[in-house]
Amino acid sequence: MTDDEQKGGLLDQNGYPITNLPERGFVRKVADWASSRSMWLLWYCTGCGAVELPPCFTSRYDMERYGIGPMATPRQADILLITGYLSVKTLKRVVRSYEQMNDPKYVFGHGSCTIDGGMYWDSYATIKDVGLYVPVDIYIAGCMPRPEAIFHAFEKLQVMIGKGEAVGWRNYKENYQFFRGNQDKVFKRGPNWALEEPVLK
Amino acid sequence: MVEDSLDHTKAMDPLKGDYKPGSIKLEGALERIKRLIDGVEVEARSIKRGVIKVDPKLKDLVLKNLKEMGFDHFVLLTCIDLIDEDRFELVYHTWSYGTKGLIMVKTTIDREDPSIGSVVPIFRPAITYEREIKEMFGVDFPGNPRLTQFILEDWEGPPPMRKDFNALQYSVERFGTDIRYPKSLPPHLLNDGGDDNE
Ligand code: SF4
Repeated sequence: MTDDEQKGGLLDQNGYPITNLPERGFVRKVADWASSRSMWLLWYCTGCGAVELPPCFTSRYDMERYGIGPMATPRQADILLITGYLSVKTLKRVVRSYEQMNDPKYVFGHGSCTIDGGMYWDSYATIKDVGLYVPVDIYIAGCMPRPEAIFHAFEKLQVMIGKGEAVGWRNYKENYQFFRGNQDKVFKRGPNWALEEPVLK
Repeated sequence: MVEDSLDHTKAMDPLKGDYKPGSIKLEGALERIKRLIDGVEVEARSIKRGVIKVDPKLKDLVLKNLKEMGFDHFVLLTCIDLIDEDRFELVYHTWSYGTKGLIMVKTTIDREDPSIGSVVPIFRPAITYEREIKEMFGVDFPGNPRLTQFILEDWEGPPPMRKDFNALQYSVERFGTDIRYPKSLPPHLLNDGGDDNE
């Protein structure tokens, strides 16, 4: 991945790593268009925002209209919706799930807790900014956001994928040192983690 | 006073008293404890709620006797940081289904190097409460078979429920709260000595 290595190290004005948008050929564009209409959302909930997911899944809002379905295992999922505050203990599980997901993968930060800690802004147990530990493609503001906001984000993600802009997963690989360094500051990887190799490949 | 006979000879051994577990009233139970054990303070706050203040060395004896008198449901164990007095207060809540009353056994220990014997041999459910208090307040419970790490994974700071623990400062240092919004934290908040709900 030599071209990936060359691109690493870019920062935005807030000090967060970013990645260049890749060149896409015709086939890639068609594939992106197709995959943006068939995505699986990992059925994984943290924090109080989880209560908004059942209405999204089920008949009231019915996210299958958008080609999005719930998925029980990270290895088959495309979207990780982080539905609220993350304690350090939960963050560890989130990172582990995220690293198990196949590329391309997309992360939503759902609720103000994922942006700056929300009402847990001075809590000793919860992290404040998910973007330091995993690359977030779209943040949904609110405490808590309604399903309409989640669908707005789904639509935006489809547009972003169609344009080739949803590149958080590339960002994670290219700037792995940044994310890994922040992760190591708050939790330790146990001996059974064993996911380091596939992430960097 | 309740009609329980408070004959001193009977009260010396509650098991030989002429009552069945549960038939004893809360005030009677308090009175018995007072007569059985020297140096306890008892107080009936209402017909359903009593408080026993006791020296840490005698708390096992009190709890054992309460259990025999029907207060056999160990509701919970809490710890209170009395930072002004430099003590920790431990409160053992016991409930009797017969009396439908709650008795709190309160005892205080030194805040420096806090340690108090485990009550697991008397009330087994205390295992988890003692684990939690060990993690949150740093109180040691010799005799508890399972004082392992509980909720706070990879924790390196001081016990977080102590009142001299500054949660905001800790979270800024550990999680970088101010990275994105440095102006959102007024400096006086960083010097605050903890929660306002003390
Ligand atoms: S943003 Fe609000 S609703 Fe969502 S997890 Fe935080 S406190 Fe709960």
